[in-house]
Amino acid sequence: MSLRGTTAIVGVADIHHPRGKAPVGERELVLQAILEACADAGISPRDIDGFTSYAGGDNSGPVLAADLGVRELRWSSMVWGGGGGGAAAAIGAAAAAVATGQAECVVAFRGMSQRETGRLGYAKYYFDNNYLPHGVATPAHVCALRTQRMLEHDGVPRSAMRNLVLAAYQHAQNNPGAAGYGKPLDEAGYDASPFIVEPFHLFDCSRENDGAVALIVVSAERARALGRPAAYVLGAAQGAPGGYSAQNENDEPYTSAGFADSSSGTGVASRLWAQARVKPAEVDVVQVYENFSGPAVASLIDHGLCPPGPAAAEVMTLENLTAPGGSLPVNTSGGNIADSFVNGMGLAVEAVRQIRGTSTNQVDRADTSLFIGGPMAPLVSSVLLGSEQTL
Amino acid sequence: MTAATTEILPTGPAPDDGDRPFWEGLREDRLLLPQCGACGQRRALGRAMCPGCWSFRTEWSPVTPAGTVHTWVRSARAFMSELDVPVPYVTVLVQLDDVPVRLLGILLGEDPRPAIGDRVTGVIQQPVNAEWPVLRWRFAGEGER
Repeated sequence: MSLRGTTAIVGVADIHHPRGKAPVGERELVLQAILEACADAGISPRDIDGFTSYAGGDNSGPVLAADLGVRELRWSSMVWGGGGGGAAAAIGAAAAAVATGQAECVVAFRGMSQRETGRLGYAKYYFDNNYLPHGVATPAHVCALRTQRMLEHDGVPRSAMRNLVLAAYQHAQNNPGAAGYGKPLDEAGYDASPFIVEPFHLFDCSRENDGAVALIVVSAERARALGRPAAYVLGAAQGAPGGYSAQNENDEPYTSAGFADSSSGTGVASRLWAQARVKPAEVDVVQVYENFSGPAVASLIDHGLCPPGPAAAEVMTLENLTAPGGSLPVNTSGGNIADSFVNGMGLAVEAVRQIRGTSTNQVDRADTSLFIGGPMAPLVSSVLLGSEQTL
Repeated sequence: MTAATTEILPTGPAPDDGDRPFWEGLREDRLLLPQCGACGQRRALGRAMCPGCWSFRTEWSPVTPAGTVHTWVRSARAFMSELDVPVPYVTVLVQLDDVPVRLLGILLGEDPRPAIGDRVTGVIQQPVNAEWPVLRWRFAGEGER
């Protein structure tokens, strides 16, 4: 049994406000996003029968089902562990529910409101006394530790990180909704920005927004009946090598982002490619979760889209990373760094836009569109979307 | 930003007390780390069971606090107002010589500039605003010890 081509994303919504500035609470943001995604899909909110999310939160399936007045709740699942690493897994869980007939219309969503849940970037509560006495208190610290070794030991050049950021800013110049719109960034501006946690400059770090994102998953048959451009799920995978990023910095594939194969098994990326029957070189456009630029580079390496070590420089040029002409266009809305950040789920919406042909930085012909969820987390995930032609 | 703070630096055993011998060892100026009481496999702090043989028997034995820098970061901001060291500060992840275990710690010294592979020696320090001592590091051959 394979997930390939059995389900599709038919409606999306991406609502974001500056952090701390949403006019309504997180629950209302989520409901707004779901209604907007339903309108986009051409379905009634009453037709929703399932909910998936990740990284925690109180807006569970039963709560939202009551608010929306759905007829029947059939699926409510939270991806367990990994924070933003579970973003693509939430879409995978929705697709799994629909593909196996346990639900018919599942919304994968995430909402964030700083007034209610604080700053993710200062998520000190996550760390225990193996970390805090040493001043290691934020996601930036643990990602910086791995990134520094990727740069200094593995030999990945800083230009790989910098060009990922510059490409995001270049894309943001065409996206009026992006935080980086009208604020172009060049190499000198990047280099001059202060360090936050070395090796991360300010511009290597994700933004944070208030907002909500929703994606509606239905069967491929229903997607065709709706008659709107759909992004078919070609593959979805979640997990990590056993013990990855969960042993107080003692895990072996230390500079992996968590998607690579390891001595203990076949990794998320290999399982994704096998399921989708697509090779890395066949991917047309990539949205890669950048909590920080370095882990995003590691994600591209793990997925076989970029070689490891010094050779990464050959692929990670600004020209290659920029749409429409680049060979590996990434984060075409501006991504978490230059567009907006609602725990990374906005990237999934951009992955759908590319299949639909509605991105502000549309690649020439996007038949395969990859969304890679949060890297260097104890659980990571990715999902590959395809046009009808790929089925 | 100076190191003056009256807030309490988080230190000490986990809520389940599983790593209490490690912290009590620091109070006796010793680095005690866990190993499986059945098969002897070393493991990181924070795990009650041996992932090699699934025994819950745990022994704590002294380890020489010396090793090499596996990776490092320099924090340019006061992420923790309760930290008793000035900003910027460097945190190193140290691969121990004696056992296949890595430990974090602040690298002491004036504006230290570490590189991966540098030799470092552990220093057990009692911050004035912490209940328990903490393990920190110096470049090998520098300062006391």
